[in-house]
Amino acid sequence: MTAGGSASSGASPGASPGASSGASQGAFVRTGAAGYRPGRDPLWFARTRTYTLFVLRELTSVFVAWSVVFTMMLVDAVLGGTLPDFAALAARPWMIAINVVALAATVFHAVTFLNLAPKATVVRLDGWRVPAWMIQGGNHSAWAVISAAIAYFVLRTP
Amino acid sequence: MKRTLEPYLWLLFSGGGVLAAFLLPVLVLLFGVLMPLGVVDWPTAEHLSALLDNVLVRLALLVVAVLCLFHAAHRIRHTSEELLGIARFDLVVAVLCYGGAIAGGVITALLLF
Amino acid sequence: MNAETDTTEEAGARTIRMEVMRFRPGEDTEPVFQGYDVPLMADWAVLDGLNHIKDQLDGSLSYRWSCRMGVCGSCGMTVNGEPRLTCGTFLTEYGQGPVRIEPLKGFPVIKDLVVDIDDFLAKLSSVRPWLIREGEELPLTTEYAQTPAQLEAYKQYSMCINCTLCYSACPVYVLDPDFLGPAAIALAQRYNLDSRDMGDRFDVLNLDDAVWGCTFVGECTRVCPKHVDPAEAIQRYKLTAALRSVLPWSRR
Repeated sequence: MTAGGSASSGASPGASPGASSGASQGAFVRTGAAGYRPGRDPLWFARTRTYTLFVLRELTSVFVAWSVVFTMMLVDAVLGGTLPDFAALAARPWMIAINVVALAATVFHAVTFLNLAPKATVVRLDGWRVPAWMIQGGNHSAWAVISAAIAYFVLRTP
Repeated sequence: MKRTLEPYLWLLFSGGGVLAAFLLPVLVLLFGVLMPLGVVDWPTAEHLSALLDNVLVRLALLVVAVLCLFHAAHRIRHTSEELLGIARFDLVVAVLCYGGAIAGGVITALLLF
Repeated sequence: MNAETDTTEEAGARTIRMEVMRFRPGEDTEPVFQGYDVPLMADWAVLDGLNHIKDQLDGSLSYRWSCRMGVCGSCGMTVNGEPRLTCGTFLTEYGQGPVRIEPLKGFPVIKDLVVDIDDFLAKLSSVRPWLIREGEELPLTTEYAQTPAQLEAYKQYSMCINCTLCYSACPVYVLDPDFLGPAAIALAQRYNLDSRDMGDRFDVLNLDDAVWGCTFVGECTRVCPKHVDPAEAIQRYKLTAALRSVLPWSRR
């Protein structure tokens, strides 16, 4: 669409009996004081489901930060010899509640982040573009393997 | 040419995002949910501190913590500006967010070494 | 919605209610909705409904359209909250109605459903969306053949029809009109990835308000009627720009 062609088709002068003086200057209408721009919509993120999902995806970052803090509290307890105190704190109901939400958030982060990764990294092998589902499948497989390895090293009994 | 820090911040954000995706769910699942609920037993303190004795593990933990905190800082900065409409205070928001990440990294380093 | 008028078709025919946003510059301080009942035909697009209103019910309604077949990109409007090409959106999609037609969000409204896209056009030309060549004398006589792989590298991004649905869907652009926006970046990538192009658009793309303004909402890609995938184009250039910033000697 070109600027001239598109601007003339709808807002042609004389089409509206109530058109202001702005429309009578020619076919090409530019906004001046008459143009209407709505104010900022403070609830924009609630307008569509996809916007809400986007904001939830971004807010997982709060729980990513929390998970790091929680892990460092654990490390501090292990190095300081206060692991039983940490275990008691972690077993408080509100702490478990926070961590259940943190688990959901970090899993949501992992799924969305690993799924979106092939958008930035276009892999071409000899001209053939590796399809997104293969990269995503590789990402999710790596996630499973790494998780299993960490669980093994943490839980194995010597 | 106008210089911008964004490419470097984005690389830290992306790296942290990958590490957070790979590592954090299993850590939260084990230490935050399953062990407190008694589904699996807590490992002994000796076992865990044996893991942390390895300097490579501690270095890896530091890198993971710093990058994940930068990831979170980057997203919290952009999302708070979009949600609250405070993009005109970007400099202040950015200093707070990335400053928090740097502070968290320093505390982690002091903790581990 | 205070200026609703009823315009009923002849009894018997199935109709659907169209609620159309009206804004008369100089008269209205803010837009109002006006309702029209139009015949609900199986093969009528929203644009056919608007044309029916303009021809039969209310000649004062203003909107843009041209080709009626999804290639000119003029008839983008917000249909029930979604940015759509009205020529490719059928009235029957909305069942019993009503269908709410608003101008594309994110742009100033000139009149009724006509928005001012000068800002987009300025942004588009700022990325120099053409083949940049060096050291060639006019008239140009040489042909530059491309392999299928070279064509494939940018073809998807060349499908853009500048309909601006992606701008309207992008919350980053709607909240902050300084953002360079999806289509302009996708078209910059269309030429960046063209083997014949010798230009470098790093200086216009590697800016806070250009690719770094994007937070990857992904709505641009979802609403694009031509499957251009601007979100992918932007993320790819983020990686390119980041690698070039870290490794100054790398070009792409």
